[in-house]
Amino acid sequence: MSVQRQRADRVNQVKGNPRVFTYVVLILCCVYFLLPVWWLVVASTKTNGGLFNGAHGSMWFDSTFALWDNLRQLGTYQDGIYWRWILNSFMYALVGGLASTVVSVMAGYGFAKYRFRGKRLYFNIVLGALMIPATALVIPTFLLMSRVNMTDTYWAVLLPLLLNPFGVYLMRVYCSESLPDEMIEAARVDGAGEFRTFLTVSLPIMTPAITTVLLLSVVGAWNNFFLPSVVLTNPNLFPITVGLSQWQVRSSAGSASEQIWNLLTSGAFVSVIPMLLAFIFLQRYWVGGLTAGSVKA
Amino acid sequence: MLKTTKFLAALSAAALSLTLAACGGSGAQEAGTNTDKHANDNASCTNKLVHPKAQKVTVWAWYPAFEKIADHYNENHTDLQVCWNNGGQGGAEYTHFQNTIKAGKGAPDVIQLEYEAMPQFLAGQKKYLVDLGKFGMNKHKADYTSGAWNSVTFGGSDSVYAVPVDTGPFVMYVNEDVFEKYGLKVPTTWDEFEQTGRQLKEKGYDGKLTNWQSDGTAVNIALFSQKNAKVYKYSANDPTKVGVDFDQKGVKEVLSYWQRLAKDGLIDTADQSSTDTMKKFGAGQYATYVQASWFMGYYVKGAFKTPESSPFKIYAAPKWDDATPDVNQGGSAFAVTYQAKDTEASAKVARELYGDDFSRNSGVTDGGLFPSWTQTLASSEFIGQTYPYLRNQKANEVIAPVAKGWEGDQFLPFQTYAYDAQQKAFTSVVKSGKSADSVVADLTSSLQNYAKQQGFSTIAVE
Amino acid sequence: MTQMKQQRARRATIGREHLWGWVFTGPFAVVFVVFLVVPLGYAFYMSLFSYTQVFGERFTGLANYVRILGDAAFRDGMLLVVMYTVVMVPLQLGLALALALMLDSFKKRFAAISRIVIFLPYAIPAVIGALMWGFMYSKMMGPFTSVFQLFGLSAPEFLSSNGIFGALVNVVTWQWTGYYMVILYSALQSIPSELYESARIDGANEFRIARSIKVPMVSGSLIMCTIFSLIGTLQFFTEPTILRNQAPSVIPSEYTPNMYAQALAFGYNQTNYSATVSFSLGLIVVLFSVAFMRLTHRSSGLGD
Repeated sequence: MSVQRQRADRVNQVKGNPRVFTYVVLILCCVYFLLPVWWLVVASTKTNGGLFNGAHGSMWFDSTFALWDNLRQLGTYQDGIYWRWILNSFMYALVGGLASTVVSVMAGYGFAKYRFRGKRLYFNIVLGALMIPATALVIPTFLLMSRVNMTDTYWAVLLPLLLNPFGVYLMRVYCSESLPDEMIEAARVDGAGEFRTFLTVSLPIMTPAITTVLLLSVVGAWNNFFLPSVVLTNPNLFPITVGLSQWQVRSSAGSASEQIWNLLTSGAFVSVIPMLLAFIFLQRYWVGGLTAGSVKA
Repeated sequence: MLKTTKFLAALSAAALSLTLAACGGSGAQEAGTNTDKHANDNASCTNKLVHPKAQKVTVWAWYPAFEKIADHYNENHTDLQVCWNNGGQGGAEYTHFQNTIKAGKGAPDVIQLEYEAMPQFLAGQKKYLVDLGKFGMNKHKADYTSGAWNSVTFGGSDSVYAVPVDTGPFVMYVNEDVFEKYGLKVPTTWDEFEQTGRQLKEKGYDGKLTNWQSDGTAVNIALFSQKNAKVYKYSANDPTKVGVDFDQKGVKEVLSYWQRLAKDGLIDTADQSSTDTMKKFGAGQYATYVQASWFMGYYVKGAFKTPESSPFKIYAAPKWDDATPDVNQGGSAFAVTYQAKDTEASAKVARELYGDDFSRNSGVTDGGLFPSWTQTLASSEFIGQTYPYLRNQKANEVIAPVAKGWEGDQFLPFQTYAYDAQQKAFTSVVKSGKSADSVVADLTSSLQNYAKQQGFSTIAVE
Repeated sequence: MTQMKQQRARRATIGREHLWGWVFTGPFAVVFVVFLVVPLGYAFYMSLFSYTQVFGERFTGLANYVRILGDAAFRDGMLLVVMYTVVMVPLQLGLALALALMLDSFKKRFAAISRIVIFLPYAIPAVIGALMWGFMYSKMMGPFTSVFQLFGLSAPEFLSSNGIFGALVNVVTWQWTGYYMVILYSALQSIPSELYESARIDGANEFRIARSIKVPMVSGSLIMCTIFSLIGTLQFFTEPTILRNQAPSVIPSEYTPNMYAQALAFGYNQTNYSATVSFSLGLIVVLFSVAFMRLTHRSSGLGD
């Protein structure tokens, strides 16, 4: 933080003293944003019957505390497929997120630091691609994949994740602004190859933006639903989002269905924990990296 | 921008030529007979095989407790082994099957299909289900109720496209607590049913007579069937013709009946799949529920904490008059797919899976299936069975005659679309009070147009 | 070094730059072609054919586009998502901006905590968010019936044909406001503070500073967020799909164009027409975004 900024903050604190209004608004916001989360916490501790006929209403715990039993059932129901879904989600999020970040970082760097033939047109097409709704591509992608027998594989989910035009854009902006050409030039003069320059000189400077792109891609892959729900039919490959939505369908009425609302709620609860923790602990990286893409006017 | 367009055009042209090459020709044909006994040797199965070296037949099924059935089969057969996977439930499985048809491979040998889902795999250019008549299935006609049998023959005299497993006889659940409290008699006709609703309202019952679900699909077909109004027609012998007609006296009478009950506040019109419906069911907010017999096994687990706390018992569904037929809602069968690697062995497995006492008993008790097997329906053990969540009632005494009386229903090759259209139309009858006459006319013409657009010619339903 | 030598070296550098430029951007180009250009081209190609059970697949030229022009289901779905856009985008962005400004000038520990809380829903998959709200909307199981009773009111019927619009707006607002808030907050944090120090000394109040200095400074981010929100809303899919399991008679299978495309492809076995819907939706979204950018007449940071 700059010296000016600190001074400004002090001014800020003198002038903008804690107003009741702000507190009230923020408290209301916190209640609103936490409400469903609290519901989920409570619901995950109830039995299936308790969800419907339990004591104390939907926002408080039932007289029987069934969280542990629910967790045990998660481990055994359909041979513990739930944990497989969680593992799949982790795999999709980490592998897909990481790979897509690598591709985006390289491309952003290439766009920012090299002049090459076709660059203008190429980059403009990428910008145009930002406008194309990802979901409009899902069904054609599925159809193509079924032609080459790629549906129902891990690849069917992982490979489309590599496409991240926003990540490319963010990296390009960041590189143009925060990575001086002179530094790269100096490394070249010292005889470093392009890749070595990229790895040893440029990457360290790009770290904040890389973190942001990585976080964005990982969260995007973790939340992925439409594409996997279309390209996967084998339950063993499902990410948790598709798995839980199938459990919801299974619980809704119909012949030969089964009520597993308690597994649905406790499963949902357990599945959001890792990402919530990651968010709380990685908070500051968000703010840092996003600045790059957003201030450029 | 112009450059971009050119670039895109060139690329799509490239994609075009690629896929043109991948397209093959296809002609009208009957599913063939295959005899490859080793094609499944490396198939992966959810169940553990007893004789891993024996020939395998792959099966997709979502019946509850099906693993027991597969294990039982494998323990008792050394020549054939059932390799079971859950291909998804209902619609998900059909989509999965459709995709394997598009891909030309990946389908199982034997597949569980609901009766209403079969026409889509038997219509148009190619039949994707094998005619089991070739393998002597007709000999076993007497083993199944006539309704179930008619549901898998699709109008053919010798063709049989699946082996029936379960059915959904249409009955009425009665909340005995409510009826006792208000001193009411269980209605046997729809007129009495309406009167019961009015009495309950007068006497201050805080719930509703019943729930009429506009998202109910097969349930409404069953209600129309009670009036002898068949709305769909399709025969596998004539796979390019379909009949759709909601514009019938019976349909309009049924819809107006429910519309009136809804308008007078006697009934609820909540969606069947909403959690609220289930909660109300358990909280004594419904005096009756008119549904298939499998409904209880499903709802009781969610709606009541213990089976014994359920106040419901099963009665015959209300009738319009003495001529009202017994009707059905749902049920499924095992079909053999055109991709079956060894067609004859697959046909054998399809028939034998629920072919002996052990598997049938397990299907009824562990799976909660209502059987299509005449032998089971006639057995004193089955008829005498008591159900704790039905106040220890011998419910099959009521249900079995309905199952035997049912004569079968017909569905369309585009049933999913028809159901979606049906659902929207009926919702408008009870929720926005549209007249039944105009709704059925619109629904009929829109479905007939759709049929024509899909290349079918339309015929009368009668 | 002579001039010629210099020139040759320069040309060599440029040649090397060409090469390395493509080396770095090449992997992305491959991904881009395979997962964007080809599927789009394929969607268009497929849309030129029609599949029916009776005739199989036939080349029908632009017939599917003629069909979509007269298709009430697609038109209604499109109008609906436009309506969602009109309501949801300003609501989310307005709320996000207000909260960002508030947090930017409110330097208490509590501000940091609320920032995390407001951002948290973004960490929850939309599927689970919709699932939770679906339960909460339930009249018998959700908390709202008893909350409204406290004030002697009856709770709105969220899952009815009148309530569903607001119900879905709420789910999306809950899920995404925090994300946009964080983007805007980051932008606000990076404004050099000397810009408003003098304004403060001149006696301008916080509201004035926000209006005449902060908001104009983050307008680039604001436009970027608007475009994201716009694109996201036009391709509305996950939330209504999940809520449909709870209330199928309120949310028909063709509620939004994306849901329609999915129903066509998987429920109705009409993949060709489904591709037509996908392609048309993509086209319309691009047109919308371009129109919006033209309208704002600013480089949003998205234009190079």
